[in-house]
Amino acid sequence: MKIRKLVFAVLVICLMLPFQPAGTVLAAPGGDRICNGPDKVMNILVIGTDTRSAGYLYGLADTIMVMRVDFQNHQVSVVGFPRDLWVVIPDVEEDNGRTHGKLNQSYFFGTAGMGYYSGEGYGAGLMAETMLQNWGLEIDRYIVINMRTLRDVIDAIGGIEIYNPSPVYSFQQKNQPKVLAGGYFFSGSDALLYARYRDPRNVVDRVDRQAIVLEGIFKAVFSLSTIPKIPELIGIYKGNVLTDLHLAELSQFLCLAAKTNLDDVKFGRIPKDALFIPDWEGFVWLEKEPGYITNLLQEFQQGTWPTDSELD
Amino acid sequence: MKIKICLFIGILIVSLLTACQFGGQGSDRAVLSSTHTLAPPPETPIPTQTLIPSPTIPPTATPIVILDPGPIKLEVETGDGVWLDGLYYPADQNPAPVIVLMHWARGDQSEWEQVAQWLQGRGLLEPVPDYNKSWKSSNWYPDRTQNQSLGVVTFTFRDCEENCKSFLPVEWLKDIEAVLLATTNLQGVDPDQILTAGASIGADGAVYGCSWLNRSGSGSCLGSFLLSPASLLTIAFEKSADDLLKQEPALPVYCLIGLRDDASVETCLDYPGLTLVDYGYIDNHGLELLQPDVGENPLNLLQEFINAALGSE
Repeated sequence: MKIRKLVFAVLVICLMLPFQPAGTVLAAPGGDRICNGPDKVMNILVIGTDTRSAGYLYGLADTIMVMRVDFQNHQVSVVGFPRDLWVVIPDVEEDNGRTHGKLNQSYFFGTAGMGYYSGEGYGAGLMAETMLQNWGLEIDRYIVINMRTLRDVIDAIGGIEIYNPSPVYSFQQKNQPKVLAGGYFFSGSDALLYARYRDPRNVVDRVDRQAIVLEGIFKAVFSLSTIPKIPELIGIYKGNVLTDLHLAELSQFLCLAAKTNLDDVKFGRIPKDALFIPDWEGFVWLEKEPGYITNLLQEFQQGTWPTDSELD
Repeated sequence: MKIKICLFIGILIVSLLTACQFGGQGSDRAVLSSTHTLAPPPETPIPTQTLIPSPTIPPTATPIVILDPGPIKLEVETGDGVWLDGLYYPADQNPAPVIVLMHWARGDQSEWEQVAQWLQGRGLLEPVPDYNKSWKSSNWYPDRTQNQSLGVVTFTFRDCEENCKSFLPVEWLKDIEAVLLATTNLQGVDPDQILTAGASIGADGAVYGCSWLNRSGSGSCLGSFLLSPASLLTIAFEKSADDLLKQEPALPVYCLIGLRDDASVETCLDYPGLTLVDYGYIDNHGLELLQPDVGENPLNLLQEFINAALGSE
């Protein structure tokens, strides 16, 4: 349950952080759609990058999720992807005839710095194209956020409160925890360090710690003192997040987040027992049964999977 | 028989005149009381003149009343049953154009108090400086156009007393609709001469409300004056703005922005038909643009907008 909330918080925060302009979705009030959202179900690709710089010239995708939002039926579901999935990557033949790579590399090859993708959206655009070609998953919008932007957000809202559930170690000091279990008040830099430690004892909880940080931001942003600043925050951080979400859509998602019980958000991930690590050089994941992920994602697009949080 | 008929007609006329007279006085009392309760119906607007006599009654039967400067407290019920607080600053003429001012998320209707008094132009404004909020510091306000007194309505969005404590964009749209509908029914208001203005969420609300009022058929909105709109109320700016700008002739829509306010820049920059005023590379947002040293006096621009909307000099 905790993880589900954290993941949703990640997505909400990403949606709250502004964006660069794109297409226009017009919606009029009325009907049964919540928050005046669009009639059509939207799939939003959410990417957290590992880049430390302010921009998005290069970078690998650290976190990859797709959020399905149905304003008509007030349903939100999320699927997380392993970044090491081995996939067909379109448009990268110029790289020594490359046709395949890890899913997170599809973002890298599409970045403005690499320039392999000629469509819209740079890295996110190529990753969306990759998802379409491999699994038939159609992406409507994307959001890309880097760690530096997260740090600036935290400083702008005056820091965040978090609870760290277990000691965190680092590769440099494997016997002395860097962060003890307990409650903390973090500045932007502290939070970024906390989220980035590569704990040699448990690599999985790095993602969880990023979600904890984002949950802290979520709580702070929606605190009484910050709500009046939301319009201003949207302005301040626009341009620091890559997205094709329109301003009105952002407002619709903010509205949806405010009206959604986190427990009602359904979260799933590509199950690791459906994957295997081949005896290749390098660390990648492959499907045990070809077509399995495609079928799963078809159910995701139809809103029939996941049926409940698979992280509980 | 003839006498009976004459007597009957006489009684009928007297009754109608009496009813008409009571109707006028009743309205006066309602508007002039400290609390004026307006409950707009969800669809059909309340007829303001239910006691209008038949054509045989001379039009002079309805006295023209100039209301005191007030302001008059309003209580407006929204379509979903929430009561909003508002204030009505009557003009010195009847009927008069009215401008509805919508506040930002960092405050409530009191943010507009001094501007409302300035627009009303009936001597309520006191030149008291406010060193924290330039928009409330009236000592830099320009003179108002001679012989132009506007009715002014302000209100507080739900859950926004002092400042907004929840993000309720869809509910705020309902608030706007209810207040505009109620405004068309206020005594002394010409429902065909309504203007809207707002800051930040209020700016988005102002352009939405103007479009909504015209589509509803309950009144005529003649234009919107916007400080930092950003499509924050779940309705795309284009949806509302185009309704105004594509009329023939186009209604005036003024957009004032700072160029470091990215969301407002995205909303207004290069928007066809819009009167855009950018104050250079400043990050002032919403009411922060109402200050004397940002460039061209924004209240002069507000006056210019009003003149354009009302077709006056």
